[in-house]
Amino acid sequence: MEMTTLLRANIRHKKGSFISVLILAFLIVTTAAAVIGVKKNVASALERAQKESGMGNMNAIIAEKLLTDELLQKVKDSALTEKVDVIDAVASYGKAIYLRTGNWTGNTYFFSPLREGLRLYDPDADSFEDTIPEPEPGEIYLPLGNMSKHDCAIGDTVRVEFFDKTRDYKIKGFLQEPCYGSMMIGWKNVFISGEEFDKLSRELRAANTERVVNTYKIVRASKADKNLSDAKFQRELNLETGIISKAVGSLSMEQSETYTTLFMEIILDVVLGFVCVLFVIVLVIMIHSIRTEIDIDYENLGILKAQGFTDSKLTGIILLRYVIAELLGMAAGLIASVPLERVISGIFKNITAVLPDKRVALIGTLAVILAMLAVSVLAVFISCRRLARISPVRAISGGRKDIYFQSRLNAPISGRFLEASVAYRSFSSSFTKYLGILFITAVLTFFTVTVNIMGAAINSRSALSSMGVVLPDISLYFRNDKAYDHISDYESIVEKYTPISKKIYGTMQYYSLNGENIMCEIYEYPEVINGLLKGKLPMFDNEILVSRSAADALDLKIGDKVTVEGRSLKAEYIVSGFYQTMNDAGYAMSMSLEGAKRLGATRSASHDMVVADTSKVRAAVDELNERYGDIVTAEAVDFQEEMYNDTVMLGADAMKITIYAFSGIFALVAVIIVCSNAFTRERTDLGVLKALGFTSRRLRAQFALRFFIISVIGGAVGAAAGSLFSVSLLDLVFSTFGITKVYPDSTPLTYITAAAFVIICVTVFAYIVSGKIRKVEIRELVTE
Amino acid sequence: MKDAILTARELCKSFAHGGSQVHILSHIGLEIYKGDLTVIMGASGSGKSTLLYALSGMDRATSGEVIFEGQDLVKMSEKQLAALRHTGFGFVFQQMHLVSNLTLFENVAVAGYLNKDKSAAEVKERASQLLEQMSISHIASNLPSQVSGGEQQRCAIARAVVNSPRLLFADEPTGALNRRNTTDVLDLLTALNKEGQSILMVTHDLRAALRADRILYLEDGSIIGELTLPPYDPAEEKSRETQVNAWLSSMHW
Repeated sequence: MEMTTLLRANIRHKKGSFISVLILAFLIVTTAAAVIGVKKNVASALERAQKESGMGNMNAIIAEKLLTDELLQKVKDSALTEKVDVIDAVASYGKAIYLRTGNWTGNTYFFSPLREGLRLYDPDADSFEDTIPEPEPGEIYLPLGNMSKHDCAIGDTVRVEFFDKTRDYKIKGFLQEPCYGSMMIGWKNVFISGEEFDKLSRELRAANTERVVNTYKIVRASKADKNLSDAKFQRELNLETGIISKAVGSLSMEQSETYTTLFMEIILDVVLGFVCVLFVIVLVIMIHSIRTEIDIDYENLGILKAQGFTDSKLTGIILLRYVIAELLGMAAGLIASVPLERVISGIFKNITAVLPDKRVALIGTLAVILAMLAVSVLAVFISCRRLARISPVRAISGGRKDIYFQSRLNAPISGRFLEASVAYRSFSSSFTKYLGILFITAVLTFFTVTVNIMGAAINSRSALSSMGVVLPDISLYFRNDKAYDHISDYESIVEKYTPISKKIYGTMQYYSLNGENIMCEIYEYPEVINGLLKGKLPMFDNEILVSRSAADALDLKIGDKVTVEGRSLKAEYIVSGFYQTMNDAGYAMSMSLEGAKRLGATRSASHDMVVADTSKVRAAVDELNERYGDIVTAEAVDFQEEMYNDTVMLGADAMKITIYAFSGIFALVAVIIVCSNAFTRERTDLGVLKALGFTSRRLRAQFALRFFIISVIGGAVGAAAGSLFSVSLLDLVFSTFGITKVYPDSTPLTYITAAAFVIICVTVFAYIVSGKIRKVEIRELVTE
Repeated sequence: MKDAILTARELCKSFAHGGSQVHILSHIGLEIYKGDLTVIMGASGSGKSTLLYALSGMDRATSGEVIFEGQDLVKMSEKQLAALRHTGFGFVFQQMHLVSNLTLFENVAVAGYLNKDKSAAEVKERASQLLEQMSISHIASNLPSQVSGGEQQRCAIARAVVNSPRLLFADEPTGALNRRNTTDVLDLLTALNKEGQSILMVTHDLRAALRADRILYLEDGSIIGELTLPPYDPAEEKSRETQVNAWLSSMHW
């Protein structure tokens, strides 16, 4: 009973810290539960979609003529496979243009007849229709990823360039297609009626040439041994049958999953990491709060001890207060996470193209809650150890007064800068009391700096270029074979306007590297390859670059001899270096066109240029289209539009806003707690200063100034830590994209804006919270 | 006829308590004379300190007037009152209330810096001079927690007079001191008074009251008696004590 009475009084008396801890626990659990929920719901929905659609562990796209009955039979007969099926497909050749918006893509669309196992989204893309009506001739179903990527809608027309001619299709609806459907995957499997597909494949089969293949088969194979990784399954199956070596590309279920959820995982992991840091901040706030409370309540606690309360009972009361506050916050957070999870899922659904489940991730969230509680309890116990130092005798004889020491940090009180010098003295004379807020300011600044650097990196052309992203100014689309005869003419036209600084002529092919199917970036001029991390560029025809992740997976070192196998030829190469690329999540290799010719490649498929003066691009493109429009389409490339679309930017911005908002909220709560404690402790001094003639406004300014000084130091520490460690942290985050070394295009402003944000928050909040000073009455100094 | 430096008329102070009004000061009228050391005495709870705070503008009266140099403190804004505290008035508290993270010198100087009429150099010189006068210059760079109660109170007096206030208020300045420190502090206040400093002191210490030129007795929020004394002379302290004691007895003290 005595515990309950004291606990109630304790909560009543410490409303501020109780509510603050409750709010912080609420924010953390809301975010953590929502993030965990989104991850779980997307993962379970994706797994179900993969099963329903009959997706294989290997999904290889092979030119029709290369998939012989014998090869297919070999795959079917292999002990490695459990089930194999084949889907017919025809490939687009040039661009797909969405006529309403003008958005377009150069990625290949593989047309297939509508098949079982797919799900049709309702017009709002919130649920599935029961059935998928057969499309009429001229109608097409697209994966949901297309809707968000190209801002298209049902009823829009998409114009697709094939080798023989362009064809228009009206969008009938959007499907859940889990293999290539994500916005993050370039190739797309799109669906038309069986009847129309037969007609299209007949026409395009007739248009097949030596160099141009229009008709394909998608071979889907499920592994017999479920314990085998998809990568190993593909490698072993390829070694046994050679099927992947014949394919233009092969996507395993695991790879598809990685690409589908890649962007979502990065954003959510950053947020989750930030939430963990916020929890550390909560612990710091709790520890600071408990220690200060014990100092301030020294007398009361001593009297309680004199009455027979043990240290453990007093610890129990403090512990219960914090645990109750946390539990209430967590329970509210769990409830609030449900709608938040729906909102986040909605954003990412446009990227993953999978309709997430709507379950509450109870087990995962409860595990987080339990872990948080356990760590909190430990922190409270450690902080309460100073209860043992309370002497009942000293408490009864007037308590322990705050002791201030002469500090080396002290500066003289100046008449000219009275406010500033008094504020600085308050800080310097009890520096340790402000370590908590200093730490919090530093951590918040570090995270906002990191987010700023990340923003600067993904929005900077030079940074992305350094990270291996190819960013052209002009793209040329060759409409037919004749286009290849005039390459030097195109270059002359462009050079009339501005020098060409890079000719990014190349092609992407999937080759097998020591048996592993890997995307190969082939460049006619290998000196344009960005992102070299170590070694040298593959300037000779027997050299290749490999990405770090590929090198790690295949245990390759610079100088190693490797065997690369194309569809009909194989050759040996030497690993000349390591590089990074954003293609295929960084699992790739690169070589010169001369090197690829040893594997049967003949020419570059894509022709992009980087020019010296980008303001001349439009004029050059117009002339190219005017003079060679019948064989070539020239496009001016806008780097921002090329790299991102609204959904991706929305996700990145949402993460940035979340981190900034949380930094603000946490700064507010930390300031409230630290300010309140400082205010309680210094109430008398404030009264005295008022009695001397300081106005409330001047005292508030002093209070805010003190927190300004602390936050400036914290901000500087955070910004310095950011300059030292943020890039390493981002390396870790971006490594899932294939970027093992982030090149930040940061400026002093990147650091200053982050630190300024935190400093302003802390200072303004301190000024607002110090409004209590108005209530300090000088008569409180009177001892009647 | 002495000049009044501070005049109170119909001064009332009440507090709301449990839904009813508690009247602490009731229609008080008084004058504090320039150059006097005036002492207010009374039993505990009689409203002495409340009166002192109302007269000094540190607390607002519920009604009535407090006139200082022609201006009514009751009607002054918070900003005007704050300015008055560092230009016209000085204050000594029973518990000293030095700012704990400032040295003794700084405690005095900070109050001086608030008065913009003086340069920083002048304030420093005045503060040093006062600390010398209070015999605490050797510990000027110490923090309050490093010196005795008496030394703290001497510093508090120095702080109160650094701006040469027209009226010095002292609330039980010897209440927290031992006998020897009490005598020292009273000697300092008497010396300041002899130099012309007007002082209004609340006390229930007889030894402090003996230093007064005039004693006002407060009971239940009203002044019920007044005793005027000749200027203080240590040689006549015994007879003065008898006189004050007799008067206080008549006030049922």
